[in-house]
Amino acid sequence: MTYFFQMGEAYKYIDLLIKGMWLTLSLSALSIIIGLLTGWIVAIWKVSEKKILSIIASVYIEFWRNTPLLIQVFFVYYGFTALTGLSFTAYQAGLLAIILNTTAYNAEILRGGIQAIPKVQIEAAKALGLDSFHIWYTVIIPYVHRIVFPSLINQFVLIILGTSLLSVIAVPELMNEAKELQALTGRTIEIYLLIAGIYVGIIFIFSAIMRFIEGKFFTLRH
Amino acid sequence: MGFDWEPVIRYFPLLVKGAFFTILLSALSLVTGTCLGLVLAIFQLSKLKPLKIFSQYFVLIIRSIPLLLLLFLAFYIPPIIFKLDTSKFFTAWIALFLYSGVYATEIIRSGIQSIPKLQIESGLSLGLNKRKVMRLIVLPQALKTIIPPYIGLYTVVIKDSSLASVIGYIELARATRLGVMSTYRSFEFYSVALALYFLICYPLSRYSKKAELRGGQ
Repeated sequence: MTYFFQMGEAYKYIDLLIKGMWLTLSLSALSIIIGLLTGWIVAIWKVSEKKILSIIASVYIEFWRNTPLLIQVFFVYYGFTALTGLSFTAYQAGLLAIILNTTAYNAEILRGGIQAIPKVQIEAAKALGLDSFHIWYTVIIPYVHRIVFPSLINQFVLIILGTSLLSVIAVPELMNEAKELQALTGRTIEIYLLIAGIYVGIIFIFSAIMRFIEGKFFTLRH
Repeated sequence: MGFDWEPVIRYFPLLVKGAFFTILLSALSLVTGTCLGLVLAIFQLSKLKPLKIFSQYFVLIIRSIPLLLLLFLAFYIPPIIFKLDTSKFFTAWIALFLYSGVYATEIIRSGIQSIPKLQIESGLSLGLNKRKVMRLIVLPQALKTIIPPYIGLYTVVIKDSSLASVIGYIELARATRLGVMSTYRSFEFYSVALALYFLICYPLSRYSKKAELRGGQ
């Protein structure tokens, strides 16, 4: 079937793949940004002195970290609709599932970072008369980001790759478009190798940008 | 709301059978992946430049593509290019084997590199040759650092094995899907599936945390 690699066939539909790529990137960007914010909320709850917040956060984290993303996506898309009257579109359900998932992972990473801050820093901040909010805002949060930046980047890469799962509920991102193209042209291997290259390219560029940002803003200065 | 748990109860044996195959697939993939990880880690630590570069790029590339894509490539490449007729289990295993292997490489390599050089030098000065140093001094201590993240990797493989359902291999995720498709009780089935995966993974992750705390001596 594919004795000569007919990449020409694949290139004809490249604009379809590019549309899928943009959706992949926008899904990833939304999930990364929102997931980081919600991750912080859950992380703060987890380390909070109020037992009830800590327990809720722990239950949330353990549930979303110990179950597969695929089933989570199915659960949010199909199961949730049966539960409540609301019906999500595939895009909304997929985005929600990824955000709920990454929130839990981010919360764990950030919690580790929060607990890794040397106690002297907090005590120094208190001695300087900073109130609780300012201690968080000016000391803890920037410090944690410096400590856990590599782990966060790793998580972001997993998000970008994780969007490919949304192809199973027909969200037209890159992986889905590839499947469509494959059904359309029958050139399976060329197309899948092509999008493998696209994914590798996305991740390479993303990692390079993140490493640059890390050097500029997030390096621990001692 | 109308929950109807009866179909799930009826299907439960099928789900448990699926869970069994999930664990089987994951265990096999992890064990073979470990071998791959060891080889790649040794390559990365060796002094031969070509081995080092090959291993680094191999790991980098596999980690930059989605597992789903790897699965599809494993599904289509053997029959089309190598003219091999492969089973779905084999396909799933190949993809998970490569995927877990490259993650294992990172864990093993950083575990070995975490042993202070002093240990190696002491071993060498005591008259042990390089191989004996590795076997008697480095590896036992590296194991303590490696085991906690390794258990984490096992839970990752178990969760990622759910992707094998997409190519039709019958494990827990696929069994759940089949149940949903024939009974339409999506909420009940998916929540039970989530619970089953949780029951498998949560004890492992707790054990990993305990091992991590114990290993910190």
